Amino acid sequence: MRRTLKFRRFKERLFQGAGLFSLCLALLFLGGILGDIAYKGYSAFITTEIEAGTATPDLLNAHASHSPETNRWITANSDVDMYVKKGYKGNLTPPQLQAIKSLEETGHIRKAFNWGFFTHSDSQESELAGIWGGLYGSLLTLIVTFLTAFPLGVGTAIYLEEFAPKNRLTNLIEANINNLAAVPSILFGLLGLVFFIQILGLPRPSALVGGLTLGLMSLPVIVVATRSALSTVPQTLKEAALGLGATPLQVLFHHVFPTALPGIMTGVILSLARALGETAPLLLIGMVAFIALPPEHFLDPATVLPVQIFNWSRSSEMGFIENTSGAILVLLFVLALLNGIAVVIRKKFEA
Amino acid sequence: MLCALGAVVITIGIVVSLIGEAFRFFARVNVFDFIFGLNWAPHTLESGEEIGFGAIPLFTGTALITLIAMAVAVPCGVMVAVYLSEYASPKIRQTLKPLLETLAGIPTLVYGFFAVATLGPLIRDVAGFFNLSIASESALCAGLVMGVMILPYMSSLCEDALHSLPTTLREGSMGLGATPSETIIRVLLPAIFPSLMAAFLLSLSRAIGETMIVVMAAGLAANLSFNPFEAVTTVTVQIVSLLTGDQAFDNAKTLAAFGLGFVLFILTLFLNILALYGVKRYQRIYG
Repeated sequence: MRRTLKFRRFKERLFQGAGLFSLCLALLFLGGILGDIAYKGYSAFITTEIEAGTATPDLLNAHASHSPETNRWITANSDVDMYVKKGYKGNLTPPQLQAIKSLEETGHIRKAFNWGFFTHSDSQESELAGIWGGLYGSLLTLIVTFLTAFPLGVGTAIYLEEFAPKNRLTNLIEANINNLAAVPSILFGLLGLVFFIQILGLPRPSALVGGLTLGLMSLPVIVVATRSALSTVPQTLKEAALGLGATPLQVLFHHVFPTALPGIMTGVILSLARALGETAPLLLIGMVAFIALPPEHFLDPATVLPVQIFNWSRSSEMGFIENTSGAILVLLFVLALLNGIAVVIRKKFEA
Repeated sequence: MLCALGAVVITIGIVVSLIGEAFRFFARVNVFDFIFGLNWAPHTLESGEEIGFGAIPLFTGTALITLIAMAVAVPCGVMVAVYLSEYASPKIRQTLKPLLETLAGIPTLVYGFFAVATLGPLIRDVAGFFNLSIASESALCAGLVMGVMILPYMSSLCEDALHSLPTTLREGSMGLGATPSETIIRVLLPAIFPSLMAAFLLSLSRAIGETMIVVMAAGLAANLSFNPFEAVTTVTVQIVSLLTGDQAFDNAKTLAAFGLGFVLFILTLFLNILALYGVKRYQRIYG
């Protein structure tokens, strides 16, 4: 008897240990991924500059825009950048290394915050490449996504939740929407390719097509979130309003919708955050092209931040690996911001 | 409110157009050659004959990577859910649960980059240390990272199910002398088994449809192999590689992507329906 008790206690501890172990393992893995990217990426926000007139042109970036009157510092080329920041020698020759050392000693070389990373668009040269084009493209795309998915999604949800009769057709629509919310995102890329580009003939790598495709993807998610927000509105509220003589439409717009709005906004923000991080469908509609200028309007060739990250990640150059990680950090920051806003909205209106 | 119905009509219309495209592909390439063919190297012969559209290597590649991912995500995810719901103090639970849910929202691109830039070379170096040769693009690497990606999703679903069980169930079992672990294994997990199945199926459908991790970390070579140390390719990788680049819509290679997309659609649809509705029939309400 005592032996079995001992054994059972041992099993209990083993089981609990296994739980703790897998929890730690999961957190370790996820923390490791984020830590690894942060470690690789922080240096993308730093750039190396050399004072004008103190170095031979082979250490400088040939295309850096530079006016001697306003700015004495010129961006160094990627090899120098990598050597100064991380000590990789790369293709530098011994005399060049010597020159860098003497520049460091005399203070003609400096590390500065890389504003260009945020203000430049994509470039073939890692030390000049920036994420502005991708960020701006993402913004335009998200605007289109919001404008299509929000009214349609909320409209569908209100209809299904408040007005639709319970019959076979609405059941089928419901099942369809629940399913679409779980369909792999890459299939929405195929849909976008056929429908918007082949059938409607919209210009291919534009923010409009990207936004519409992501809008289709977000639509079912928004419908599901809106419906669950609407269903939390107490029945008594509706009945009280109806009892005071309000029409069903007035009940909806004066009472039900405002009450459910925080929940709806939370769902919409989260689905936009998902759309912002999405890459696969956009690859299929041709947003992979190298685009050096930010789009001017919705029909211009555009790229988005995740696609730009994907393009950079295919390069084996040290400078681009750094840029990839840096851009991922920016993307994660924006996503964390959106999630934070959603949490704040939820907390504020919960009470 | 008719505009609301319009949304549904649009979605259905688009799905139909996708299916139409897939059927144009099957008009050119025999369905059986496509589903049961062993050789994937799509090209058109000079005679106009389309060959090399055997998708079996893609299916096995997808299956292998998904298998590795699920082998990581299922045991680990369930244990995490059990620990958070049954053992952890409320404070830890309240901090870790939102954290895990946020982690489930990290774009898969980020995981893909980690796989290709860090884990792949790491696996290659470790294998090199033991005198094995593993390419940095291996099914193992892609599968492991995909498992980590699915883990928060899986554990979040399981945790919800466990947490919704009434306390009376636990008290009853413990009152009969069972230890907490015996309660969990013999009472609680069987009670949420339908939800567990649903979580498993939804995770499976996500793993099969996952694109960015495999595009970045798995290879393009269509190897018919179950060796996790080799590079394999998946359905989603091939869809992306067939459609990126210059393309005309009446090309058999382009249409093949729609054929693959159609297969993927049917497969994930089946899994989702099974998870959302099939499992419901076995669900019991406790409490």
